[in-house]
Amino acid sequence: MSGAQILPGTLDLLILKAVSLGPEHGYGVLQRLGQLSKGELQIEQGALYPALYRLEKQGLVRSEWGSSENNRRAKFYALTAAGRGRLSEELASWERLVEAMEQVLRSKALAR
Amino acid sequence: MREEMAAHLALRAADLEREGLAPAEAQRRARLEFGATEHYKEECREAAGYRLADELGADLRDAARALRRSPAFTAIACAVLGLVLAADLVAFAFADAWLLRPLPFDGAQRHVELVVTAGDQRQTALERERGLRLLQGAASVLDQGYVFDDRRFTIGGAVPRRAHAAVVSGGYFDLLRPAVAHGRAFGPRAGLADSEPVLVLSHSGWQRLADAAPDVIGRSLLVDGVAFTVVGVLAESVTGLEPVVPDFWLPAPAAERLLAARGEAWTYAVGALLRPGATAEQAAAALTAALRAEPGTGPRAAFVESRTTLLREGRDLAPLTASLILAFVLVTAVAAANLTGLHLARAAARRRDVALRAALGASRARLLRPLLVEGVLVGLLAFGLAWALSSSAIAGLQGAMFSLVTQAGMVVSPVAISARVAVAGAVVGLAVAVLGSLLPALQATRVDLRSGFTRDGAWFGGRVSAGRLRGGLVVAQVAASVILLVGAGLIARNAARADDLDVGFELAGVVDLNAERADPALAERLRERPDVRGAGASLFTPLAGFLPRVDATVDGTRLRLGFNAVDANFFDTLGIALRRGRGLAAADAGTAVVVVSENTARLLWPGRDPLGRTLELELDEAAPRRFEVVGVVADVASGFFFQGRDTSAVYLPGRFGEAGVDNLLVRVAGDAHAALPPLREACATEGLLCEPWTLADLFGRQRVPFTVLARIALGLGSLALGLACLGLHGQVAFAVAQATREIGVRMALGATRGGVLGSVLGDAARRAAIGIALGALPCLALSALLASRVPQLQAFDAFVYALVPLALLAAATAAALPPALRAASVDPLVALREE
Repeated sequence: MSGAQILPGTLDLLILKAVSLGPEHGYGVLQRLGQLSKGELQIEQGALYPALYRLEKQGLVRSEWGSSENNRRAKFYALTAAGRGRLSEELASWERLVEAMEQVLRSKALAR
Repeated sequence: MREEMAAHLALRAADLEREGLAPAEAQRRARLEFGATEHYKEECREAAGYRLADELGADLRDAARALRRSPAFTAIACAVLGLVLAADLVAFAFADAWLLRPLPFDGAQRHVELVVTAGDQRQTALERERGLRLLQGAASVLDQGYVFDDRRFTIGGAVPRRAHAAVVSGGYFDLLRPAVAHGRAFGPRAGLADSEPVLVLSHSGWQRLADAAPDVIGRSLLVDGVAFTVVGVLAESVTGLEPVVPDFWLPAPAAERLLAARGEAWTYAVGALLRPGATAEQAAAALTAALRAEPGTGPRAAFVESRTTLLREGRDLAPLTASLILAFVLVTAVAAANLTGLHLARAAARRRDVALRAALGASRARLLRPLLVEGVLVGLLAFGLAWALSSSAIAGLQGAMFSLVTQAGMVVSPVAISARVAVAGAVVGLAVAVLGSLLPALQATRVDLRSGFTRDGAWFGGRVSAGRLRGGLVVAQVAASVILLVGAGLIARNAARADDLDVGFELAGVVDLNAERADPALAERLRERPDVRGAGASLFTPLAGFLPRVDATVDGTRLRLGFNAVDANFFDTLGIALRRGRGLAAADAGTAVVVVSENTARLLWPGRDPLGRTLELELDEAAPRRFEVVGVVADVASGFFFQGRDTSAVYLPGRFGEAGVDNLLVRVAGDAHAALPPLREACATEGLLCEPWTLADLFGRQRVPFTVLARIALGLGSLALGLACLGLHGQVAFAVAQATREIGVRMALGATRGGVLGSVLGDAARRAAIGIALGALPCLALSALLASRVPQLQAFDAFVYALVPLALLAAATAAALPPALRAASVDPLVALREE
């Protein structure tokens, strides 16, 4: 796997987005992010879990034990109402950031 | 977490295998891609907030290890707190059982008892019919009514014995709904005049009277010679509504048939539940209306008093309860102060350790936590000790405290360390433990890195040294001990005054026969015995209680006078001196003459001759009767010893066995106790059961409350004194250990061993003296309060006020002696080389 390292501070946003598409276990979240980014986003696998625990503690996701596709016991994470709210806030601020970054990075010259 | 990560690795490995890797290689790759598992686990724990729990667990392990490393500190701290906590637990258990726990039935909060009043006289004992009629009249506000009385009966058998019974109407068990071990309780119909006589045994009665026979149901017991069928045995948990547990319960009407044979009138306490929403005022109004609707004279008003617990909440009880609570709070505070002193000394020894950790960057909270955890651990250990101590000792303590009551054959409702008592004790224990370790922990962690390595800490911005703080704690402990010991001393001294009281007659050699019924033939037979000097009878036995009052009119003035009815032999038998006129003769019985006491004569006709004067007495609900005074006798004491001799006593002439003049008093030659068995046998040959006791013992029983209180106060006081001495010892020992170098310098400069000893001891004595002075002030204030409330008590006892301070001073000096001797034996060469 090769691709871009994710920007610091954006892991939470990515997890919230992945989980918003439906309950998923940790490995599934990684797979989903891999598929969505066509393998471009690189996340250190272990780092996912502290982030998931933090989000759960904040009440943005909730977890439930279930069984995975190959019948292994796995913990499934789902978005809570608070998580949904946070996701839309974060998305809005992300878009503002991207827009601002683009304007700065793509400008040809300063208007005098 | 482990499972979750393992699942992740397995899923990843499976995917890698599908991509064509060998299983072993796939697993290795999965682990590599995942990264440092343990590191992420740690991060997860922190993210999820498990970190605090982990750290606390580590602190707990550290604290346990630290406590194991200093067994002396641990043992002393646990003993200090454990002993005091055990005392607290016992106090909680009694308070819970008698004052706090609601009576054992639904709606106990609405339970009330009836009181009727006539003038200023309160009456709580009513005839059954009247009580039930009143309840009926107030049925709109009162519910579940019953009548209750406790009586003693003779139970027949191979060895007849006296037993304690509760006589109740059927409503009593309707209210109580008791748990039944065998058979059944009786319902409202059981006591009807035409029904079979039945009884229900309590668990203790079942053991005492039926030898715990499982087939007791259906058997009959002879109660005062009448067969009653046992229909049930109640569960052990059912102990009735009074502190004294009855041996059995009798239905009131059936029991009244027994009483008719004794010639006694029945009166009962009347209880009921307020209907939900009804108030005591409404009940009083309804009862008063019902009372006024009755024909005849007598009480004209009624009200109800709430009773929700085993002991009636009386105003008389409040100061007693308050002082007991104060005493226990004081002892607990002493334990807290002592614990603080112990922790302070320990913290000082650990300053280097703490300073080192602070230098390595530990936060204040992080430094504080292990110290507090250690305090909590001490609290838990102490609580365990206290729980074990109090659970095993409470039955014995109760027995010792009420020995005089149980000697009279009564079973006192057992008190145990229940779960809620234990929880209350644990809360107090942990609070004291945390409090005791908080100040020292705060001090220990307020490190200045430099000073932390060099000297003992300081308080309040450096103005108060830790040494002085420890000294202050010792002073406070001594002060608390003074208060408790002076209290104990005052109670004990007042109880001892009973010995000094001249009761007005010759107490020694008088026996109250306490026969099951009055038999004039027995009296005659006894008088013929060579070991009997005389036998006289009375309505009320002297020293058994304050004489009841009767309304009197003398020369147009209405007042209330104490009265008694006695037979012709009474004054001679007791040795009550005749002062004027004549005593009462057998022929006087039923005539209109009386003998009065000297105090009565002085009260009614000061400076004039009482003989031949008349007074009107309202003895019953009939018209007042006029009596002529034919004699004056010496004053005697009827009531509590500290009340002194009766202020008034009017003796009506009576005859033994008539009109309630049933108490036969016998004067024996020689030792009264030795005479008891022959007297009992003399009764038995007449076919009577007697349980004679000496009047001296009866007098002793009066002291029970004082003795109990004195024992509690003395126990707590000794505990506090022991703790204070321990604290002082520790404080002096610590100061000596800290100042070894300084002492060495002083000795090198020429100080003598005697001088060092004197200076250390003097310092300790000075602390004790300050504590004594501080403790004496509230004592004097309490004494003044007591003197104003109960003038009969001796509140300022010079002996107590002199002895307690001296004893404390001596104890304190003795406690300081071992470390002082150690200080005096410091070798200057060794001390100076030490650093």
